[in-house]
Amino acid sequence: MSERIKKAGKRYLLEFGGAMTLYVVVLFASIYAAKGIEQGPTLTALALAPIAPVVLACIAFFRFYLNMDERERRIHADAAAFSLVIGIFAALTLGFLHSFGVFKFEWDMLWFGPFLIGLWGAVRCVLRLRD
Amino acid sequence: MENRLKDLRAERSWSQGDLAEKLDVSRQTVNSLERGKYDPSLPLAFKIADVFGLAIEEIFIPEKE
Amino acid sequence: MSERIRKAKRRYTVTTMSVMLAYLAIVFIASQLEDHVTGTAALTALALAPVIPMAAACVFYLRVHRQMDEREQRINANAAGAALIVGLLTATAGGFLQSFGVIALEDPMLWFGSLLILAWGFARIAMGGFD
Repeated sequence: MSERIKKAGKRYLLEFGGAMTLYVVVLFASIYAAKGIEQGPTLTALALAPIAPVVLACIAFFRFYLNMDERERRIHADAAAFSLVIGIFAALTLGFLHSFGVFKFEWDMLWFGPFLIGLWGAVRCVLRLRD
Repeated sequence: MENRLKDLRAERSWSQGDLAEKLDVSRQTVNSLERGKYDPSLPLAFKIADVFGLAIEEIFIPEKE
Repeated sequence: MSERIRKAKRRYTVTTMSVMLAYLAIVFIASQLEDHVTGTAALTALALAPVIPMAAACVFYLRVHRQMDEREQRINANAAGAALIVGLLTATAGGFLQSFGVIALEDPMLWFGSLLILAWGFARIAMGGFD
């Protein structure tokens, strides 16, 4: 593997790991600070605070993506297309089950993001195995 | 697309890692290229040709329709 | 444009329109029948009825992706990656706002699925222009 790509991979692990650590810290801090806070701008800010480290993680991934070789970029992009189709299908199915009162999953929005990312990873593995 | 990458690499006693370093790609990409599982972009094809000192059509064999 | 691609685009447009119409018709009929139906099994069947044209659309899209020329495949795939990131951030933000009690979404997954489709469409236009 080219030295440049190896370095980019190491930097990504550091940046992504740092962002995820920050996410956990900010999340717990927000939950603690939000106790007893009434609805309003403060509560909204606390609710959205954990998004900031998620954005940092996305930026770290984007920098890594730009440094990948073309085949890896293609695998990531193709996997994104397949995952998005499955994700849209899953979201709308859950939505209909919810709106018809058949099935209620309280935290679906919160878990759907990680579900999409996990799905993306799984599809990437499948595409790499086919290669 | 069929190609002569593996033979050309062997002639020069390069490992897949060596070739990956010269092309600035991952070793897996070199592996996929050699097995014909991945077709390079035009810039990468030119880079490959440059590394081996050959024309693109001397390395890659297009499929006959 | 090659004849093969022209035919594939025509087939894609006709099939997409048919699937959309079927989807809208089924959603309308199911929502009308909802109040007249009792029992979990019947409600589940109504809730999952729109899934049939959706599943057809997903399978069809995956086939069409293979038939696109390489530029369109790249644009679709890269746009899907952008839409996935937008989806991740939106789902996470929405989920936190909901779990902190800032907002109360009625049928979030239905809106979210539609948002993903829109995000993909906008990303495709931004990356590749109109065809």
